[in-house]
Amino acid sequence: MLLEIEDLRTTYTDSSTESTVTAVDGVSFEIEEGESFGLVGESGCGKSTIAKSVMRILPDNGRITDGAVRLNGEDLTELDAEPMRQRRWTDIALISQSAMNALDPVYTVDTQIKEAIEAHESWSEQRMDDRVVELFELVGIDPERRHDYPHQFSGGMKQRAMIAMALVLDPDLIIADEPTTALDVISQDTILHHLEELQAETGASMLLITHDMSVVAEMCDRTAVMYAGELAERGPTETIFTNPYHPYTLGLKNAFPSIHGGADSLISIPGAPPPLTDPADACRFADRCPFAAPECRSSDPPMKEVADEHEAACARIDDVGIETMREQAAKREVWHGVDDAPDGASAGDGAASAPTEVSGGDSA
Amino acid sequence: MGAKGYIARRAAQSVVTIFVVAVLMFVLFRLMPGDPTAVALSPALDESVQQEMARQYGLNQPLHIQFIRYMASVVTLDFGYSFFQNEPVRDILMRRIGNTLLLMGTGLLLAYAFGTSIGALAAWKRGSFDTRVLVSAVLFRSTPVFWLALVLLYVFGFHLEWFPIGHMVDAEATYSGFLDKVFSVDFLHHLVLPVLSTVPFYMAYPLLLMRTTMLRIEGEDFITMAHAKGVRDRDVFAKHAARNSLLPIVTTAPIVVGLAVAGNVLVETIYSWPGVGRTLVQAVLQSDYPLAQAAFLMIAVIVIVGNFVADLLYTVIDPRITYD
Repeated sequence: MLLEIEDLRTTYTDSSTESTVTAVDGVSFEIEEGESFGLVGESGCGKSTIAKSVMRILPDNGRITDGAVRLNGEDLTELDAEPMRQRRWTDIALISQSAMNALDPVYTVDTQIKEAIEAHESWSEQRMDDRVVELFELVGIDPERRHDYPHQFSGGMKQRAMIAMALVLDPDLIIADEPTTALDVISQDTILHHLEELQAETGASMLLITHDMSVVAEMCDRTAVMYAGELAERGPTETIFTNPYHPYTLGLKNAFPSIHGGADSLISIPGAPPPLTDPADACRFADRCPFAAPECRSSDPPMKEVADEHEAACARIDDVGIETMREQAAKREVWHGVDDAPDGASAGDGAASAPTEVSGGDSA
Repeated sequence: MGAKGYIARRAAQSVVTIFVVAVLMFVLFRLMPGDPTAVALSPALDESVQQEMARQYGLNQPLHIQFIRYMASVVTLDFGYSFFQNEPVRDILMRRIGNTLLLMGTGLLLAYAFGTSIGALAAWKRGSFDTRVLVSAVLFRSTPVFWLALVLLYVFGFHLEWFPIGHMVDAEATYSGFLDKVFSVDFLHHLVLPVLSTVPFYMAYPLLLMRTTMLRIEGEDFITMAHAKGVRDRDVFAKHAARNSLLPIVTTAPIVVGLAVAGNVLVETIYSWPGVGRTLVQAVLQSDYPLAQAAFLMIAVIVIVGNFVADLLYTVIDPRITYD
């Protein structure tokens, strides 16, 4: 096992209000050697915090309070600053969310890639230069352009340069945090294919973090769905998409455009994720869930196996029955009736079996 | 357009600005209350002598002729004779400009060296160090230069007698030349108090600006990225955070040069420093118009050249600058 994340808990403290936000609350997953692992979830669910926790590059107010992050068996959370610094980029590299701003504007791309080498190795200037040229060719940028400044690159080129930089020291694990979000659809596709090829070539594992389900579907062997600081579901990508178990994943699937259906077939999930300042011992999704029952609000359901190598954190799967759940979740009125039944008790079975109101359009 | 074209254009703009200042100077001096002829030409003198002197100074000419002669003198750097020192204005100022630049340059250099590094460190370290720096900077920023100069003069010059209370060198010392003088212990001893009077005030601005910019830059993605790359903390600080924070420091440098010019006039006067500022004050008090005019112009030139240099520096430190 290359990377094992076990019960990771990361918090941010707001110094002015003394309040603490638990951005990641007990997340566990593993990544095997050579595997592509997808982590999907909406903005603010804590997926980037996981990336920053693994690399230990959290901002000053962020702290790993519990759990372990084991890379090749070594717990990174226990390391001192200097050994941790040495693990960065040689073992784990990052392709950042915003390639546009992840390059320092006052240095050439060449200088910035070499800086990563110099921080860890003492290669000759010639060897570093050969490596940069090799990488530029690999990611499809004319090596002549390596002495350009970042502002002279297009968005797609910057992203390619970032990928080149990530590969420079042959890391075991590449964390790609929203690697294509800032790009247009065409560049997105090219970059993703490129990334896939390069990963296969180098044999590195990849943790792909995105809010875009299609990216994960295309790229990843296994996928975890994250919601409000916790994992909702984890399993092979194929079954996550074809046979999801968690109501949140079911909702996401509805909200995701299919090539077969028109835009009007999309069903949004009403409501918004709960604040993470003071998480109650309850299912985080209960307030938005059409299948929620009183028990969902009294204890936080643990992950449990629902199929082969497939786990979900929902207490209602057995009671409602997964077939009924999938059937009901595909109906617009099931989701948009929930808003009108604020009382927790009646929102549970009542909404699932007898929707109170048929909602017309998509709620914004 | 290339860098050369840009530099040439900025140089041309600077020259035009100096020209405009020169015109303003001519107009202002003639709008000032008091008749320059009454000062220069003592009524006690014989009528014919008075007329002869007015002719020499060109004061009997109509205004437009005076203007043309004045502008010609600006172009040829010939500012005529001082009313009182009976010496060409140019010679007087040439002797003093070096002294002014020495005092001001030392003050600005120290202010920028300390201001930017302390500001950067405060933002990097945060916490109580930052708070102390912030309070000190605000204190420095609100301490008038003349007040601090007088306090230092009183405490360290007059009372403790650690430092001389004025002038550039000891009255009895003789030096073979300017450089010989400048590199003497005697001179440095005289330099301490005037420089100390100005540095706190000059450094507050770059310090606060550096601190604020650093705090913003530290949140940038490329800083996180540098950490992720495993770049050592001190390199992330110096090569990325501080390096990027220097850009606004250079842009605003001309403002501080402007402050320094004003501060220098006060400090030179208080410490009897033989510079352009003190000369200016004396010339104005004595209604020595030719000298005052040229001294004002010279100070304006210092500010304009400071702006020009800052613009040139900016093209060097920010690769994103385009020359059009």
